[in-house]
Amino acid sequence: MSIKPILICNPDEDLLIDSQHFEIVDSPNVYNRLRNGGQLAKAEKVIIVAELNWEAKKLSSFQGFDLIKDIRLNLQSKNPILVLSHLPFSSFDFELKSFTTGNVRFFRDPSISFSTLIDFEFTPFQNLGKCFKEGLEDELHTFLCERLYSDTGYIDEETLELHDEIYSSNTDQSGIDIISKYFNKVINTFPEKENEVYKIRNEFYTNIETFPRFSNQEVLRHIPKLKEKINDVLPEEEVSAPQNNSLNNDIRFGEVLYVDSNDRFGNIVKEKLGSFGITSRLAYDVNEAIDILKKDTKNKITVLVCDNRFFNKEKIYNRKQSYHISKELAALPNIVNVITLCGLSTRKLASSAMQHKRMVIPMLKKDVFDTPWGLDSFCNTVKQLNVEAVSVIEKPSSFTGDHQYLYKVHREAKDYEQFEEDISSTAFYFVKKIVENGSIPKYLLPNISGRLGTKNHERNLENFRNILLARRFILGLCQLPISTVMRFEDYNSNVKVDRKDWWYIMYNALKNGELKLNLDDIDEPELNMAFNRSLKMSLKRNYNWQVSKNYALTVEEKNWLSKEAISFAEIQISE
Amino acid sequence: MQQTDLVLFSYSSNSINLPFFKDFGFTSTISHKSLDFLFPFDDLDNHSQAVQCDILFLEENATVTDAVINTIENADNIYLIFNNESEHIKDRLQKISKGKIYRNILSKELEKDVCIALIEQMAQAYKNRDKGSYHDSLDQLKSLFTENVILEVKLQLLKASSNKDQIKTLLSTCKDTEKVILSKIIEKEAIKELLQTLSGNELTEIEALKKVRSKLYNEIC
Repeated sequence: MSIKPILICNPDEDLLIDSQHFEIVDSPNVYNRLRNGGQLAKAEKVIIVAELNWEAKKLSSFQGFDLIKDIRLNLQSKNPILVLSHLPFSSFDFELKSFTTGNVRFFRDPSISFSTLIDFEFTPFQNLGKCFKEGLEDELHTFLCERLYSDTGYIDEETLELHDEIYSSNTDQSGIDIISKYFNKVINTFPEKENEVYKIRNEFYTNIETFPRFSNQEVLRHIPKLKEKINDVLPEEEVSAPQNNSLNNDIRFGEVLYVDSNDRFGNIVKEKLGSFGITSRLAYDVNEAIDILKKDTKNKITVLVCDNRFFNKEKIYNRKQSYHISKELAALPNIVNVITLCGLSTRKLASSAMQHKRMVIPMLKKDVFDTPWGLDSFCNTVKQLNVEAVSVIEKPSSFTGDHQYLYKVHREAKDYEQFEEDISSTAFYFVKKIVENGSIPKYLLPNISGRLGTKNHERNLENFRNILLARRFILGLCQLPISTVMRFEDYNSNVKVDRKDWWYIMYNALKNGELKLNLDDIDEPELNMAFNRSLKMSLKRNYNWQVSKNYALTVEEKNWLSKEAISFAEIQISE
Repeated sequence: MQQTDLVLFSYSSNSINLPFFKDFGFTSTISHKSLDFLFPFDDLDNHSQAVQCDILFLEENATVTDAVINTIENADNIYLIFNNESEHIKDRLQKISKGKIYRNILSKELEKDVCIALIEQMAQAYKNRDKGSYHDSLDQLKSLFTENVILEVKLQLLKASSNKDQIKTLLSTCKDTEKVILSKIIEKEAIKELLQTLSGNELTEIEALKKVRSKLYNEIC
């Protein structure tokens, strides 16, 4: 039995309700029942009357459009929707030349069609199918959720459009129309912020000296500031990302490296994992894979899938390849889970994997590619391993509380890579300069006493990034031999340097930019506080990468140390 | 700080004979009114710095003096009702960019009719020194700008058109003074006839009903 189309309308719409063809929804209670029962999400055809007056709302607030948003965004329905209205299509002011209420913008969704109520009442049920458009495709649906149904996303998009429109418009006079349309759109989307937006508009106009006539160039100059102001005023929207992407947010950093000389399998895996939202990379052979892993200093790759045995170019089994890759992997600081595909008994494999203390999951290749359930279970395993690896990466044991949270925020920030590169090079530069010259300018040093728990999240992140830079700086100094660090003191190799003295030097370098043992200026509680509380480093360790690799550092720090190890050894003392 | 709203009524010299002017006590000579909630502005007035008023009547050819500009700049919200052909004044008013200005302009046919009717009510109340109903009308006038009142009434009418009882109640209530907008719409001959046909019992066939209703749609929208 096919499901009836759902018709959402007012309870006093007699002509519509009499129809036997529809599942009638005429009150919020019925709506919630169908919504929670899942019928609404599944319904192939939904018809909504735009002018609903449920719960005594005004007809002109077009409550029906809010339901469209709910169906698309929260219920994830991609099915076509028909909107009915008392008004003819032409009476909707899509351009918002003057201010109107209602989320008329949803008509931009290509799977929403329109009919007037009067036409609809006289359309025979058999012809109803023609009124509907095609359903949405996945990608388009995601795009619309982010850029049309999400309020802030929509305003972002509109701001971009405003810029483009003004840029391409020729006459100066049209600028004011475009701008007033833009402000109408903002107010239409956030009616509760009306006064604030009007204030911004007036400021904007006041800034333009020749108002109401102005040149496009002048307006363009003011748009970035306008965007900032608007963003400050608008409420922070709870990100209701599409459901199938909600998991992706957790595993944003997870990528899968699939190693196989056979492209066919690789592409199948890539496509399948792509549908889960997981990015995968392909490598032709073990050496290529190791290259990729070594270059992956941000630990983006969290799962490695490879065969147990490989053919080399002469079509001869190269039995040691799997052993080789796991050995190389063990030497890297990266956290990578491994799935090994094999053709034979998995017992031996498991025991060899144990030697390297890495999580290796053996799977029968035949099962994965030749059975209907194989690929699905494979993907689920990959997903699970991915999540596990990412959760380990994001919780370095040295961080707790604010530090841990901010570290996660830092990794997910847009400028993460840029910033990592910055502090990597900056910290190395600091270390090099301080060793060469004995000091660096004090103003360059990171400030580690900033608070992390304020209400200003950006400030928190900035303070935390200062801490990350300071940690790098200290770690870099820890890699140097004691004679290099103490060269500005009266040091001879017969005197054993106390650990405390060592940390005094470190702290002085961080605080004053000097490589000197300055015992008078620093008191012990201050030093303890700076390292234990702010930097989360232990004074009991010496953090030399050559001695041990098991320190509680973040993945980026470990990678940085292993990458720069040779450079540290090469730092020359200028005479 | 208290928010001040200013309704600005810009009219042409042709419409000086609008009925309410007399009720407000305006004459052809300019005078400063003793009641402080109204102010006509036909000509120069250099005496006052800014005028405390709810409604400012501004004639098309009037010189926009400093006092007018001060008044406009002191207001938080400005609602401009535009009852003349020239865009001249609109342009000049938009040039005032100082201060907190939230301009809203009504210049459509029906909206203007409703506005004038509301101002007429206010003039009546003013004449009778009835401050309560004066402010009621003023609030209604402002709500024309801030809320979609006219659209709401239109929609109510259209929605009622499928239901005889609802039409009858609408036709009977439109004489209330509070429902100025509804009565303004229903006042139109064509719409009134159509509504009466719909509320009567003559229409039995669905096709005929549809025809009448679509006519009504065309009239209203």
